[in-house]
Amino acid sequence: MTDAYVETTILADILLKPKSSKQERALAALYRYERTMLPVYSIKEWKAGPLDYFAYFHDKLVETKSLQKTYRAVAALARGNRKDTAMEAIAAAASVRQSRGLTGLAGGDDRDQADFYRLNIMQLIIRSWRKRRKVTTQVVDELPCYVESEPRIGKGGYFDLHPQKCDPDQECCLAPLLKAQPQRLQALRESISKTSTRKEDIKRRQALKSLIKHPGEKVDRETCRHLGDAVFAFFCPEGAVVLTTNLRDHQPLAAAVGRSAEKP
Amino acid sequence: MSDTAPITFPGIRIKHSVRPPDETGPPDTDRKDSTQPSDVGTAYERFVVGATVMDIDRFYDAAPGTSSQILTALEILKQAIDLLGQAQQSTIAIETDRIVQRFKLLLPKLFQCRAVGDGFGMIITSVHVAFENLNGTPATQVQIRTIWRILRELRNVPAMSVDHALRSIDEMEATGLEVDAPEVGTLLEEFDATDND
Repeated sequence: MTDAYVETTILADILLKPKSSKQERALAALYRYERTMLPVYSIKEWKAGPLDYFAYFHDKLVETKSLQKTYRAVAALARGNRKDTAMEAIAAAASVRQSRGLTGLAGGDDRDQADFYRLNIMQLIIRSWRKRRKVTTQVVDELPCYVESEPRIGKGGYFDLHPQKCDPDQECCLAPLLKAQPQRLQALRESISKTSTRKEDIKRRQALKSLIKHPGEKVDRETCRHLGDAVFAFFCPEGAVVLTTNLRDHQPLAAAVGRSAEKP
Repeated sequence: MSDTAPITFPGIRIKHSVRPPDETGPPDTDRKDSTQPSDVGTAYERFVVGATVMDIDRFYDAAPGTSSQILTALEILKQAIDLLGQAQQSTIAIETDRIVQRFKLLLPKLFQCRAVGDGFGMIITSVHVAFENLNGTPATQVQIRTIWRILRELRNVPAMSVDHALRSIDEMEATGLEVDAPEVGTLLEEFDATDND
């Protein structure tokens, strides 16, 4: 395949993991293809997901003015798919960080360290947003119902990432294209295990069912959001692969509609 | 009164702007103070083209015996700019790197002045991270010159906006410096909702 249809995880690895092996692999993967296409749906998911977590971490640093308190606060959250080892991983990273580099600038003072990371994360969030459309050779599948608004620092120094969702007053702009191919929707639905207890699988099956059974109904922004990974398989052009780090979810969806998924 | 007459402030010394022909090269050795406004790049300088320039130190003049973060920042920035100016003039690589090492020692002191503003803090942390990411490899002359120019700009506008600072950081990155702290991505990876394999 000469073309890649770039999914959210790749965008996150490139923009939010500076100097990491994941960033290196993702960038190298883009060079494998003649044409790399970034759908705006990836940008939307990236802003509502990874970028939002970064903004949360930033805001917690603003609130607590302490790196240690921020670790504890974040670890106390029972968020989505956060792994059990999160706190250990953060503690290990902090230890590595303290053993190199940072001690030269912020020393061991907790407030200094909090400020160091606050400034770095603020910079990364805004600069990564500005780079988002420069990652691939093309940005495709624009979403007229979604406004790409730059993250900004709002009241009290907290990040304002709104809007993260589409306009609630209009139908999802993807709806007519999705509804025009019910067999494709059906194939995608059948590729998701009926017995899966994962929340995202259940929501995706429901969203696909709603589109298939009730084509006359308005497709709202929640349905569009729940389609998630299925959107990439559905819109991936012929001759292209879905480029993702999440093969587990994307491979069966892509295969159901005659496409394939590759990882970096 | 003429519209083009220079603006004057009682009791404040006004300097006439001097625009050397090319500030993209090393600093002019004849200039007594390398921290004076130059002719390139800055919005501040573009604003004052053809007008008069007031010495930045006069804006933040303090009574003897008093101190503030901004005064401290201006003083340390002056030292930093002078060092990077010397580094650019040196033709011996080892000497250049030694001067840069001395410059890096000023960064923690500048970081302690970050209450001046987030734009200020962002530039200082980015310069620090950029040198950390070089892992001891000496900076190139282009990189030194760029940081020198950015710090001069920062000294002219210490309470720099975040947006202005981000543009300066982009300029650093364009010279091959890596300005993002690598551990930031690692620290937050576990909270990443993208569910990587």
